[in-house]
Amino acid sequence: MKKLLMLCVIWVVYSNTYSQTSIRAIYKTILASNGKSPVYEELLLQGDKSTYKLIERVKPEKVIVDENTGIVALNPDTPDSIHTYLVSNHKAKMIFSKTFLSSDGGDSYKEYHVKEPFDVKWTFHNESIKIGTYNCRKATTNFRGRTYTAWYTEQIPISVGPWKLHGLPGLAVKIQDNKDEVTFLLDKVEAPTNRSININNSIYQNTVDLGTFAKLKKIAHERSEEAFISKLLSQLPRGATIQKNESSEDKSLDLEKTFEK
Amino acid sequence: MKSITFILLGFFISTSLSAQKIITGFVKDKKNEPVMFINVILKDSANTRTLAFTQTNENGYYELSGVIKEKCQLSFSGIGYETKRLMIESNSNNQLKLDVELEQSPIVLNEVIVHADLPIREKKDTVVFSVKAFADGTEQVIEDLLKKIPGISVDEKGVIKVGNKEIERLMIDGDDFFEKGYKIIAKNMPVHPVEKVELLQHYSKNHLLKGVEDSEKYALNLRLKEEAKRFWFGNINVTLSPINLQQYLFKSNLMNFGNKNKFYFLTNANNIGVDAIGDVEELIRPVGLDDIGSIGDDQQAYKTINIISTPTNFSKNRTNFNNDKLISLNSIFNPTQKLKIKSIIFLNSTANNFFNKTINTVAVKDINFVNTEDYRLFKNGKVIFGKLDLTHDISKNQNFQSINKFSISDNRDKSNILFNDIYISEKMLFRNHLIDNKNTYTIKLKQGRVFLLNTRIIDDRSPQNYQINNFQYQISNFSENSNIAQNSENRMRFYAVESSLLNKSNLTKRRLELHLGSTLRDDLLISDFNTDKSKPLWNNDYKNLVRYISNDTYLKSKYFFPLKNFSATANLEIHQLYNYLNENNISRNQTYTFLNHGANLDWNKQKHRINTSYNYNITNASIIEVYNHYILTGFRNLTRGSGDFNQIDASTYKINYQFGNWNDRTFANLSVMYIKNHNFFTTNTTISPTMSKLDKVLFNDRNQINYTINYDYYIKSLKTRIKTEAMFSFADYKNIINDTELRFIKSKNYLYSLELRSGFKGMFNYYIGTKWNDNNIQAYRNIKVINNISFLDLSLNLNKNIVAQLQCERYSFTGTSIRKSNSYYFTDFDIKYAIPKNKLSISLSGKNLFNTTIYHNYTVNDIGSVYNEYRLLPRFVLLRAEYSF
Repeated sequence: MKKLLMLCVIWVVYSNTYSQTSIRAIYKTILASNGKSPVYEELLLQGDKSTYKLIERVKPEKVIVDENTGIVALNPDTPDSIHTYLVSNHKAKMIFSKTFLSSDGGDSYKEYHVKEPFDVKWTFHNESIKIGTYNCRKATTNFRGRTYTAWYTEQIPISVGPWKLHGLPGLAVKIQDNKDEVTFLLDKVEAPTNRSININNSIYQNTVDLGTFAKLKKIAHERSEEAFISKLLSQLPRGATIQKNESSEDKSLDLEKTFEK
Repeated sequence: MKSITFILLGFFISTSLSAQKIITGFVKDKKNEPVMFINVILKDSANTRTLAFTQTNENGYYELSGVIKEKCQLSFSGIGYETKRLMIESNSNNQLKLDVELEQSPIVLNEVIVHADLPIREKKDTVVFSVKAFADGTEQVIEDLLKKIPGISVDEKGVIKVGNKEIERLMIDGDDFFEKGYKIIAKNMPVHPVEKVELLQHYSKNHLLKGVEDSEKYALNLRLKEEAKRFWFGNINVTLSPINLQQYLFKSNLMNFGNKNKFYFLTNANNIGVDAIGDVEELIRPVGLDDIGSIGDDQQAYKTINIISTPTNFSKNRTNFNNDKLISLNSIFNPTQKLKIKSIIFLNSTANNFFNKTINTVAVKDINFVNTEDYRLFKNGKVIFGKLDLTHDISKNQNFQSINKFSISDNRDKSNILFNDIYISEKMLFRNHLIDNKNTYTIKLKQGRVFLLNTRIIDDRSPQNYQINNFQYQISNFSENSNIAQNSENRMRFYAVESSLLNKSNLTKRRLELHLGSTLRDDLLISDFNTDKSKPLWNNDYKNLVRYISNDTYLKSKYFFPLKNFSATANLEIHQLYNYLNENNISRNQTYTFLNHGANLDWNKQKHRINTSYNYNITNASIIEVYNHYILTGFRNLTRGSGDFNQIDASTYKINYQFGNWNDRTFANLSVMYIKNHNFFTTNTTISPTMSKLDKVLFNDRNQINYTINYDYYIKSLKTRIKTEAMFSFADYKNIINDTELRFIKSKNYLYSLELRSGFKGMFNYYIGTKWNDNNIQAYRNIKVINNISFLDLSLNLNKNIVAQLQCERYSFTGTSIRKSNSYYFTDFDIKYAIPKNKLSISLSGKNLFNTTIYHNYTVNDIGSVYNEYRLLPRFVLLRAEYSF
């Protein structure tokens, strides 16, 4: 009888762990705004919640050097040196993100909590390629001012994606925008994973909606750019001046260029 | 991978032909529990097109709508479940209900994904700066544009720096014309054909060395607009003084940069103090090159007499009464993909006048006198310079480069000197012939391993003929006031061969460099004294016939290893020296073996960076230190070397701490450097009012220590950056005057500076600064001089087309035995109007508005002080028109 009870307990535990999907995927993220210096981000899914965060950064400075090619990118915008931390609730289809804005060219940052619904509409295409051992299908979308092409695999049937790019019929192996400015590459996948999700509940507090955040970001950017130019001007040698043309939205290297739907 | 098993169930459900359908249903597991987050995908029967996709909710419910043509496939999949596929067929129903039961199937994944087709092609031509983003339309030449790009600075001499480092090259679409003489392009090429400016770090001139050598070099590349490649373009700059029509500048550039062939022709003529040849000098004799396998860059013939001195700390243009003319024809051909030929020709003629008065006070123990000299110098020079470079990419992993240079210069200088009311006239004829050949063969053995073979041959001669009509000193059978001529020549031939192996581990990033080579320098130094009657001087003390051959066979090694926050470099050199000296047919030789070594440790964490290093170096004495008999090196100076073989050794210790980067709010730098010369060359001077005789002698122990601190802070509320610098240096050394006992000399130098520069976004900006330099020399007695330079620059950008700049400077000095402080003021202005939508710009500039025609400075040395008076170019106003096409 005791043995049977034991077995029952084991069975319940076993079945529960399996009813809760757990997966860990590491993405190598290459952003032009970061001088194409790769960063590693972790996507952790457990049950109905997933987190997405930076785990390894290569060089966060404003002057970024590519070790292989020697290309230096000097970033006049505030770089993504502080990466957004995301929590997605797949039941409620909501994304909570902890993000930072600087109004002074990167000397200080203010934390914001943004709450937004899932908002990626994928178009499916016929093409398929093989990446590693995975058969990948193509899907495209326009999201926050960028056009992305995703290669996902149905062999890993989850619809959670890197950053905010959820809603694919399989795990994304590669997502890239058409300007080669944003790339997510699946680097490692682990399922089930023994890492458990840790969510700091403060992310649900003092949240702002996307519209409000868009306005705040615009103001911060304008101030930041002004502060950066001023700092720069004060640094120049004798006889030199600069005057920067207004950069159009299209030239921005920001991950999110627009917030219109 | 233990893959998910697919089970295809042969369910066939009829649906109608091609119609919008809504499919709903519940997904449950074996225990009849709803399953959430199951991917429900609708595809065509061939499994190629995805028609619709959804996921089940917490109740296991799904709803899908899609256009269904004949047969379709519906799949249900989820992590931990077996995938189920159903075939559905068209029927008349618009709605379809389909409940599914899934079976559990554990999944284990632990995989690293290899992306074969890496999407990031980190191309060498990646855009770094788009010209549009930084240009405002007022730039005329590349230099103006570069000044506006963050991180790049251009100083008043035209030196382009990235951070604190000078760039190596300024290329056009990957082709380099002038190497370190890049100022020619920076100062002349118009901005409009340029689309992008690329900045390359860790730059390697030899592309096979990329990633293998330890390069901290920068280069800039200008990418041209596609349409600009087909046309000739250029500019013409005509500048004239509207008042007297005397001062002028004419400058024109004509260029064509196609993909295959590139041409650059330029001409410059002016008499407003602009040194047209100055930029070419860097190309003829580049300095500070430390390319791998580059040998003999510092080898050149010795010039005995050099009659010019320009004020330090002062704009050279203000004292340069000139008339310069320059023509240059340059081309780069790419006859095949693998072959590149570059040819450069310069023709230059200069005429300079220079006016200088000095009061030289000598006060040593029992020697006290004052000399006054009023110098009027007229220089005429002509230079022809040619260069032919050949680069052949033999294969993907091999290349060959040959660099050939020749230069002929002819200088005729004349001066009139009023020396203590005695009239003296000098004449000098000075020629220089240079032939230089350098070949490099490079082969990449494998990833991270490169072998190089270098050869170099240089032949450099600089014959001088110097005449003085009223020689003030008695040498053996010459009486005073006689006419004297000195013929001197140093012919230097240099031969070198070196093989190098470079290895870099891809994994550990450790780097090893090995160089095995041999150099041979063969010097011939001839000098003699004659009277105008060609009567030779019999006294051998004033004649030289020296052959000095120095052969150095060496093995150099350098090892670099990076750790987490540290990186360390160690280097060791073994030299085997063979010296041969033949003086007046008496020969001697010497063999000498020595070691040079050094180490460098770097620590870097976030914004902090500490660098420490030490070096121990032995260098062999050169011909200047070896020859044994006097040579005239000025109208009243005679110099001779030690007459023996010598090796001098020195140790250098450095520590540097840096906080922050160039564009941070706070930037601080602290450095200490200590140099110990275990032995060094100094002088035993015989001073008399009319003549100085310098004997080079070797002594032990000279110490130099230098402390520097920089602190920059950006004040946010004032939008102003405050920059401060303080420096202290101390040196002690020894020398002998008139064969008395050893003199111990201490020199102290303090420097403080403070600068404020605004960064207003509006039309107005200021830059103000002041710098104090306090120089003390303690020899027989203490003497000191304090110099101060202050400046105020104002700039006003009225609108996009009108830019006005005003620069004011004040120079002053005070010191021992100077009763009152001396101050000099200068104001220059420049107003530029770029005619909108036109390639013409007009500007008005004024130089030296206060019309300060005389400038004095005061320097101290261990035997006294020198009071200098320079004549300056008077006030002038220039009207400039520049047209770009």
